[in-house]
Amino acid sequence: MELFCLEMDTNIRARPDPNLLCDDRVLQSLLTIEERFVPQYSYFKCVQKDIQPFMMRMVATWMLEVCEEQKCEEEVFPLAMNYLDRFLAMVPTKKCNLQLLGAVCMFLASKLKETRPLTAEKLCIYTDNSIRPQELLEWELVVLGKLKWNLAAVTPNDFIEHIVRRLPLPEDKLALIRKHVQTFIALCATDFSFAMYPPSMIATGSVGAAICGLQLDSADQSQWGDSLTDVLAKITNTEVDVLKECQEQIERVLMSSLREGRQQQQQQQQTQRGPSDKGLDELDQSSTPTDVRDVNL
Amino acid sequence: MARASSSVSTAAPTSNSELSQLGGIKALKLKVGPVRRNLFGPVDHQQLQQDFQRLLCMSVDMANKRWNFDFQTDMPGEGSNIEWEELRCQDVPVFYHSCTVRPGMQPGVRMTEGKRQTPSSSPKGSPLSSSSSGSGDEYVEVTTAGCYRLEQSGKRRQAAITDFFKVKKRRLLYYKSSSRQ
Repeated sequence: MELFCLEMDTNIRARPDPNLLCDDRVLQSLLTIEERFVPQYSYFKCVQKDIQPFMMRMVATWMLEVCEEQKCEEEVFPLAMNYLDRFLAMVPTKKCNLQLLGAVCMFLASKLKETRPLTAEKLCIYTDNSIRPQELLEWELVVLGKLKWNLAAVTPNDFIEHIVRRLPLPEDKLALIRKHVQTFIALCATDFSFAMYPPSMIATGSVGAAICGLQLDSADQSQWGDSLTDVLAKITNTEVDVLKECQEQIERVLMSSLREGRQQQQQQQQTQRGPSDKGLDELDQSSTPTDVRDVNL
Repeated sequence: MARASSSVSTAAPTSNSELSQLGGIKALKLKVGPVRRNLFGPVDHQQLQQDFQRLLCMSVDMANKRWNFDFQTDMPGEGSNIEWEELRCQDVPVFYHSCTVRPGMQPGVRMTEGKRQTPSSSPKGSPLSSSSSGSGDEYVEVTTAGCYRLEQSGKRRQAAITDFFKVKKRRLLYYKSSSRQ
């Protein structure tokens, strides 16, 4: 008999564990401890002098792009943002150190969550070599100390399965719903206005937004009994009004992100091909403000 | 440009039709420019090093206070509500030691260790050296960077996991650490 090593170069995943997902105590424990990992106040007001909200957006967007390009696990980016927010809530930081800290937080989150974590060298390259691997490792220690080594933070991603499993959703749509929920969660992590929301609320709001966005809630109203929001609110003990507001906020952020992305892409295409190209313009005549198309470069 | 960005903030609340016109959630993956980029200009490495040293010292100071222990000199502090009790290296599990080397993988190291069994290199002598000398069995070599002076009379205060290992192994550990004093 011969033994073959059939191990592939892919990550082996455990199956969803019913002991963890079907037991109410797990969800309840997550809800109990999640507050410990949420920054308690807006650091722009009381801690940071050099850092502005738009800079956080820049860092967050860059971090998300790195995680996407490196095909990181979904929870790496939200977790890294959690570290960054918690660090900035404690330590006054210069804006020139912000990208380094973003890289450090990705480094830590990736090590905690991934089978093949991001390397220090790779992360430094993504900063266009503005920082050195040695600096990344040094600051890793600083960040760890400030976070008191509490890295296993609760993220919105931890709630996805618990919520989705408790909803009467068509089996064939589950994968798509999960994907959309993860995208909404990532989107929320790029936006500081969600930084102080409990992760369960972001998760619940994202599930709501995903289901509404895919128009799965309107297919058969009767199966929900109460409205979707009421059902969702019960699962994570969130107040209905607060949840509704959160979901609307998520949808607003999605809209503005889409618009921004559109505009940036248009501007880029216009600079590349010249204003004569109408391909994209025709697609969204109704939703794009006319003034964007009037830009002549 | 300014006009274009201001129109974003006045965007009406979502309607599903509008969302689908925008290409839905997939459109979020729009990429603008390379991911590899420097966001906030050149980094002052010297300043960065200073900031690092300052923050690191702060956290070491905090740790020193919290544990009443000077982590730089590896010595316990005076007073305070935390009292430190000295344990000999061999009384704690091996994974608390600074470094563990398996000599089987490094024959060179093993040779040197063998030489240390001569009395000249361990003037105090080891009570257990006779029983352990000449043993070519697999053993765990323990190197400790900073071990305090041991109380020779001190009886064992705490059971270590190594207590439950093979006797031979433990004796070797006794010998190794005492020969290193």
